[in-house]
Amino acid sequence: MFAYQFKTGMKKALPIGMGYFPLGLAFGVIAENAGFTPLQIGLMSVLLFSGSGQFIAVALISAGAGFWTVVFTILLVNSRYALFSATLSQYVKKMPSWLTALICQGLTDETFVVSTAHFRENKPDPRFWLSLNITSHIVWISSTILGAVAGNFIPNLDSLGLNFALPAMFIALFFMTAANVKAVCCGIIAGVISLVLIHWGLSDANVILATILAATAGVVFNKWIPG
Amino acid sequence: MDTRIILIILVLGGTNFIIRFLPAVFLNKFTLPKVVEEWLSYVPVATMAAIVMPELLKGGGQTVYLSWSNLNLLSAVPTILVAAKTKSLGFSLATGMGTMALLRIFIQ
Repeated sequence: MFAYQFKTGMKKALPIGMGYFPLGLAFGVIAENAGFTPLQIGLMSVLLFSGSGQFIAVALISAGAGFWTVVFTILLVNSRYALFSATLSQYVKKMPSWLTALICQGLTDETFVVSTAHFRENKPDPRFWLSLNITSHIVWISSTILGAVAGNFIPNLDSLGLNFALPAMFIALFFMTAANVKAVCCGIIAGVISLVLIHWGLSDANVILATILAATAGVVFNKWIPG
Repeated sequence: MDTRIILIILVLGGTNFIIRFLPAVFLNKFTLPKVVEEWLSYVPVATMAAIVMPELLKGGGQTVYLSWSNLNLLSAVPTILVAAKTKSLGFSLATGMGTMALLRIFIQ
């Protein structure tokens, strides 16, 4: 049973790793060129474990942004994790806090969607969950360090289509979370709001603001539109 | 400079751990009201769309760049079809990256 859950978690982490690997390499190269050491890059991947968050952190730090500017910008960009975490509360009810802590450290957009999709048909098993999160995390950590150490030997990654790994991953995550027509509409509303906010220059807060507004719109419309 | 970077990384890790962990561990003591549960059910799909839609449309220094040179937008078409049909992370990634690689060969 242990082996089965463990293997299932690793299997489900495979496509996540496929997406993380090129992204992690790219992050490693960029961070190394911005003056970060492989050790710092690895530490950041262990502790922060957030693609967009890490890219923005490196950009801000190397641009000389202030300490708290960096911290609060990343918190704002990653504030969606707090909403995901609230959703996870129903799955961790019977787990001890240390286990919840371990699982939550591995919470990303990808692991969140893949695990909650799995739990629609299976009982939330911590062995599966940890295996999924930790495998994804290990791929992320090692690819960022590899990018930092071997970055200059890697040919132009973009020509392999790797620059589309992240958008492709989020397109898949969108359809994995779009359970019905209402959810699709809610997503489209969020996308449009996000675009408008970026156009207005709110490119740090666009995701969280668009999410809050669109989810609220979803609830409101659901009250009015039956079925 | 080095200790400052390590310190920033530690604080980033700590604060992000808090937002990942506290909601899960505190809210599990309560049963959430129906309307909050419903609201939360829309959060993932809204987040993914809010992240990806601007990524697909931007280009040429504009927020919305509708052009045959917008390779992200072109690559998105088959990726969306495959993702909608399969709901598979692996197939969507392969389609998206494959299309992008081909477009780069033929268009540039």
